[in-house]
Amino acid sequence: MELRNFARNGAAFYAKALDVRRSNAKHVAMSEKTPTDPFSMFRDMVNQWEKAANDYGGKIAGSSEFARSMQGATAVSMQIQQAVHEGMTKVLAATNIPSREDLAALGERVGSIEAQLSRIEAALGSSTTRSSSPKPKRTKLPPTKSK
Amino acid sequence: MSETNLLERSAAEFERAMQRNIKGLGYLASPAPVLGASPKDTLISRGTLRLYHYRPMSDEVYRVPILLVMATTNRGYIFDMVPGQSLVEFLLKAGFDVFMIDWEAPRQDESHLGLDDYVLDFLPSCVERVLKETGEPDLTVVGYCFGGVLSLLWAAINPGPPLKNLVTFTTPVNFKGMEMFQAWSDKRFFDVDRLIATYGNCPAEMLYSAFDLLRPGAKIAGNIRLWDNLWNDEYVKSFRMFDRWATDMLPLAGRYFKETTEQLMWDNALYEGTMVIAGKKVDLANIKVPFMHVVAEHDHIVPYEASKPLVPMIGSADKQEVMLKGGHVSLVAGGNAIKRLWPQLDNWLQERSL
Repeated sequence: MELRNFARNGAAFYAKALDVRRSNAKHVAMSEKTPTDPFSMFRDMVNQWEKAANDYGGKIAGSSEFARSMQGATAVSMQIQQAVHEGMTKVLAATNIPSREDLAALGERVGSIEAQLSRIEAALGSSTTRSSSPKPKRTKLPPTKSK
Repeated sequence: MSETNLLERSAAEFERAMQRNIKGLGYLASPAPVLGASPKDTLISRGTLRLYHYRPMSDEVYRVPILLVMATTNRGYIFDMVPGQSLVEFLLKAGFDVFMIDWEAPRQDESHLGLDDYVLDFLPSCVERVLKETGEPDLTVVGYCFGGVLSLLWAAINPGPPLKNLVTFTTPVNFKGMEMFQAWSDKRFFDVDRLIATYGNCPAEMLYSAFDLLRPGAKIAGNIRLWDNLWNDEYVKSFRMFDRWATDMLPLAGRYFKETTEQLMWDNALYEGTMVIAGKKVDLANIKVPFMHVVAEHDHIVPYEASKPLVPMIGSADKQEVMLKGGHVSLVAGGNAIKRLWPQLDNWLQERSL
C-alpha cells in the first residue's frame, strides 16, 4: 500500500514537473548554478572532493616515506616473480618444454630477420601497404601569400 | 531555488536517470571506439618502430613535410582520434604532408634497446625515409612529451640539415622539476637494475600506475562524472576515446628505461649539459633552426618547472615558447586543442614550410 502511494506520488510529481517544463517558456540551462540546486551542489562536491584527493593524495604519494614503501612493495613483488621464474624454468627444463628465454631467443632471431627485411624493403623503396593515388604538388603557399 | 525551477530540474534529472540506465547498458555492451583510422601507409615496421605516411587530403601540399614523433610510453593515435578530432586530419586538410613515428610494445628480445638506438638509429632511419619518400632535402620534426626529448637529442647531435623546423609539445628538460617522478625514482629506494633483470622491459602496468598516482582522485571522480553524463552521447564518446588512449600504455625497453632513469631522472644530464649518447655529447645550443615549444598551463605530468628552461637552452634565433590553457593531453587532443594548439601550429608552420 505504502509502495503504491509512493509510486503514485512520484508519478504525480513527475507529471507536474513535466507540465511546468512545458508551460515554462524560458528553458533553464542545466549548467545554471543556484545556491540551493542539489544537482549542481552534487557536481560541485565531486569537483571539490577530486581537488582535495589530488592535493592530499599527491602530498602523500610525493613523500619519501611513500616512495620507500612503494619501492619496498615492488622489491617484494620482484622477489616473488624471480622465485616463481626460477621454479618454472626448472620444471620446464625437466619436462622438455621451451622456457621464456628459449622463446625470446627465437623471437630475437625472427626480429633480426625482420630488421634485415625492413632494411632491404627500405633500400628498394617499397612498403607493405601503399596508396596508388598520384602524389600532390609540393607548391602550396600560405593563404596570405597565395591571395 | 524556486519550486518551479526545482520541479523542472527534477524532471530533467529524472529523464537523464532513465537515459543513463538505457545508455549505460549500451555502453557496457558496445565495442571500444575505432581510433587512429586516417588512411595511411606503413613505411617502416621494424620491431617496436613504426613509420606511417598519412595519405594527403589536398591536391597541393607545402614543400616541407612534417614528421610527428610520439612519446614512447603511449600510442600515436592521440594525434588521430576520430574524424573531426584528429590533428593529423587537420594538418592534412591544411595542406601538410604528414608522417608519424609511432611505437609498438617492445618485445622481450628488444630489452637491449637503449637511448642510442632511438636517437641514432630509429629517428635518423625515419628521417631518411621521409626525405626519400618526398624527394625533399629537409623536414619539420614535431615531438610530443618524450617524443620531444628524443627529437631534441637527435637534433642536438645532428644540427642543421635536414632539420628545417623543430616543434616540441610539453617536453621536459629539467627532470628535477618532475617532483613526483623524482620521489618515486629516488635512487635510495629504486633499484632499476633489479627491475630490468626481473622483467626485461619496464612493464606498462607499472608506468600506468605511476601516471595514475599523479592525480589519485581523478579516476574515481572521472567515473562519477561518466555516470552523471551517461545520457550525453558526446561526453561518453569523448570519455571512451581518452580513457582508451590513457590505459593503452606501452612498456619501455629495459636498457632505454635504465638509461633515462639514470641519466635524466638521477643525473638531470640534459639540463646540466652532461648528456652523452654513444660517445656523442648533447648540447641543445647546437639547435639553430626555427623552434617552438608549446606548454600546457595545467600540465600535471610535465610541470612548467620541468619544461621552462628549454627555450633559453636552444641556440636558435627564431625561437619561442607558447603557453596554452589545458593539461598534458588536452593540449594536443580534444576540444581545447582544436581551438588553441592546432591553429597556432598551423600558423607557425605555414611560413616555415615553403
